[in-house]
Amino acid sequence: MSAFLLIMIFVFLIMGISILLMPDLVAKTLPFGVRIPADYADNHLIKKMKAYFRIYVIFLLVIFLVLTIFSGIYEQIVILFSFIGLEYFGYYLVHKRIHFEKIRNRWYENKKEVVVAEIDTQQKKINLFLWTLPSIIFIIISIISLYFIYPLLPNSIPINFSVNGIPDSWIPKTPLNASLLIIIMATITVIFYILNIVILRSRIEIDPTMPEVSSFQANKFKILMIKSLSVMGWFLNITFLLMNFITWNVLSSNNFFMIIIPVIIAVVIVFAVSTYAGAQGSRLKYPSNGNKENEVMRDDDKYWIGGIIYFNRDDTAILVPKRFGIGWTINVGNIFAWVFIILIILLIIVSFIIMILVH
Amino acid sequence: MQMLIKIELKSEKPIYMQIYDQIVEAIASGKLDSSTVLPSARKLAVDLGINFHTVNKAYNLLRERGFLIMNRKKKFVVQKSRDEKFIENWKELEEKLIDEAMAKGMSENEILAIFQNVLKKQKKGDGL
Repeated sequence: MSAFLLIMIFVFLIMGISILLMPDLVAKTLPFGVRIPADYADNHLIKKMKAYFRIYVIFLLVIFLVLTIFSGIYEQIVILFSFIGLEYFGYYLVHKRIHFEKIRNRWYENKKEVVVAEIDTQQKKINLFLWTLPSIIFIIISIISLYFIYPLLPNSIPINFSVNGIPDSWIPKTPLNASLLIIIMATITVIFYILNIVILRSRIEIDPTMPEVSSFQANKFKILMIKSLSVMGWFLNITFLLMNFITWNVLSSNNFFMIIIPVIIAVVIVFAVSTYAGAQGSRLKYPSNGNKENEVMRDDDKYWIGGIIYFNRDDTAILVPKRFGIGWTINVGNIFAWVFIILIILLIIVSFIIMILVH
Repeated sequence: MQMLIKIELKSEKPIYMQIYDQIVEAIASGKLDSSTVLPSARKLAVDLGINFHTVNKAYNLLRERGFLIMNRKKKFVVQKSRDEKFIENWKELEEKLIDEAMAKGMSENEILAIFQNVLKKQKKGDGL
C-alpha cells in the first residue's frame, strides 16, 4: 500500500467520522443549520432526519473508501471531491426539509427574537505569545542548525521528493535556497498567530434562554481551539524541521513517511478536542439555571446561503461561527472579508510564482 | 462583574436606544462601575451582529449626555459622578411630570409605588 493511499484513507475517515458525528456536536437549537426555538429541539422530524443523514453518510463513506482503494492517485483526488460534494448535497436536502417544517408550522410565531452580547469587564485572556513560543523555538533551532550545516552542504539541494521519498528535483546551493523551508515555517507561524488573534476577537453567540451557559461554553471553546491550533502549529513546524534535515541530508530521505506523522497527530488532536467540546462548546458542561420563557435567538436563516455561506451586509463581523461544523467561517457580505480572501489568494499566487522561479 | 446587553431586532424602539437604555441602567444599578472601559463600538457591533454605526450612535449619545467619557486611548469609559446641573434639570422635569400625573388623576401612593419599584429593581440589579 502506498503512503499516499494511506493518507487518503486517513483523510476520508477523519472527514467521514466528523460529518457523521456533526448532528450531535452542534447546538440543539441549530440542527442542520436551521435556527429553531429550544422547545422544538426534540422534534420527531429532526430525529428522523438525523437517522437518515447518518445512514446516507455511512453508505457514502463505505462506497467511496472502496473506490479509493482501487484507484490511482488522480482518481482518488476526484473521488475525494465527489465525496465532499455528495456529503454537502445530503446536508442541503435535510437542511431544506427542516427549514420547510419550521416555516410551515410557524415555529417562530409569538416568540421574541433577541440577540445577546456580553460586556466583559474582566476579559479572560490567553497568552498567545506563550502558546506560539514552541514554534518560534523550532524555527530558531532550524536557523542555528543551518548556520552550522551550510558550509558542509553539497552544491545542490533537493527540493522535491517523489511519493516514495526519493529526491527528484534539485536547486543550486545559495543561502536563500537553503532556508526556503525556514521561510515556510515562519510564514505558517505568523498565519497561525494572526488566525488566533482573529478567533480571540470573534463573536460568541449567546442563547437568551441560557446566557451564562452559552457564554461559558463559547468562551471555553475559543480558548480550546486557540490552544489546539497552536499545538497544530508546533507539529507542522516539527514536520518542517524534519524536512529541513532531510533536504540538508542529515536525515535520510527514507524517513520521508515519518514526517507525515506529526501532521497526523496534530489533526487527531484538533479532531479530538472539537469532538469533546462540540460546535462552539455546545457539549461542555455548565450548571444551567432555568429557562427564560418566550425569548429565542434571532432567526438568521435568511443570511445563510444554501445553509453554508454567510452573507450579511449589516453585520460588522468578519468571522462568524460555522452554521454546521466546528469552527468559524467568513461573512462574505463584509468588504473586509473580501480583503482577507484576496490577501490569502495573493499569498498563494505569490508562493507559486516563487516556487516556479526557484525551479 | 459581567454585563449582558440584549437587543430586540424587531422592536419599535431603535437599536441604538436599546443599547443606550441598557448601559444607563447598568451604570445606575452598579453593574458597570465608574471608570470601567467599554468594548470598542466595533467589538460590540461584532458581538451583536449589527452595524458598527448603530453602536457608535449609542456610544456618542451616552458621551454627549455625560455617561461616558473618551480616554486617551480613544476608548469609552463609564463616568459615574454627581452632576449638579443635571440634577437641577431633572428635579424640574420630575416636578412637571408629577403635576401632570396628579392632574390626570393619579394618587400620591400610586406615584410613590412606581418610584419604589424602579429603585428596588435597580438595587437587585436585575436587568436580564
